[in-house]
Amino acid sequence: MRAVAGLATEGPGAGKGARLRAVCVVALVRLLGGVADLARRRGRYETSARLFHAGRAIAERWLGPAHPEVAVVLNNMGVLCKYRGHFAEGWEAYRQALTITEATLGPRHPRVAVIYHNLAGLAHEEGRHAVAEPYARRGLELREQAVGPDHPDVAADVAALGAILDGQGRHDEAETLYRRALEVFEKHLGCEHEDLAVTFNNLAALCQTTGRLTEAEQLYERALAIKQKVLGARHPEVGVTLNNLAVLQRQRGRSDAARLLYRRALSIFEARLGAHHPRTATCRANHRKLLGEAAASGVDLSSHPGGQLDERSSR
Amino acid sequence: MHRFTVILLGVLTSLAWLLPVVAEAKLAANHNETLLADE
Repeated sequence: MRAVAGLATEGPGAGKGARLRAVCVVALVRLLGGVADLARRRGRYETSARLFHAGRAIAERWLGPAHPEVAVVLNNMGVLCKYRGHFAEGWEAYRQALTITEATLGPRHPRVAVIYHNLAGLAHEEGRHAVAEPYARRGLELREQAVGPDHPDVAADVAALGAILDGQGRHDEAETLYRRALEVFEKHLGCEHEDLAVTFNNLAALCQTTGRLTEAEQLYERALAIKQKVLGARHPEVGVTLNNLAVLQRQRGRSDAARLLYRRALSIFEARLGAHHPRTATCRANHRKLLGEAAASGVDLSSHPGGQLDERSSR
Repeated sequence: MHRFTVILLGVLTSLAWLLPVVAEAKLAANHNETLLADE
């Protein structure tokens, strides 16, 4: 890592090898970006951040700060910022990525569609669904023009828009979009893909919100099985579904099952995202509510096996 | 010399997976995932 970072601090030399050097720099930056993105997908956010920063420094130093490769790194850093809960940093990264990409490749380039999709995702994560919607629709429009309607990338845009509408309480519209996306995912990506699992989770949450608890539980179980297989048992996205399933079990009056699920979710969030991440905070508040309700009704959940761990993790 | 060639080919083959990574810029896209607050 030090050797790579060192490269970024040296200046570009003039000469006839400049073109070859640029090719090598682009290859190095993409390689670093590929490994960084892999680390992010596995939930290794600190490692991912270090690699992205090294790649960005190299790209800016050797290719110039307005090069399209810099925009790629900035976009990917923005995605990482969303998952780490660093929202202001994410907005700035996307803003720069969008400016560079529109200036160098044009405002209708497929890469612009991805950045709009991600801007919408960041606003969604912040709970600003009305802000997210126009970005999501713009990204979807551009992507459909680029690859046609029956493409998994378009389905990912459709599913993302569904989550934004769901967040605004527009459940019917959201469900239609989720089911449309699922159809395309299953057709093109098979039955064990992360996109499928995320959409199962979201559809389950929608079913839960609209009172269809049995269907919600089945969908959560499918989401969880895929996520654990594809992403690993300790991935933050596994924690999301465990938290939602815990809320469901609490609603059904199954406090013991809910407690165990919260315990697993909190353990993942605290280890992978940290104690102050918004997702950790939401899960901790849910867990506290469960313990508070149990205490109010005279049930001591903390005396059950694992109770001490619950107390520690809920602090 | 023969051994060197075999080793070189082995190294190049083992690095072949890198080609798709460096051949095309890959923009990551995020997921909008619902995390429920129990309200």
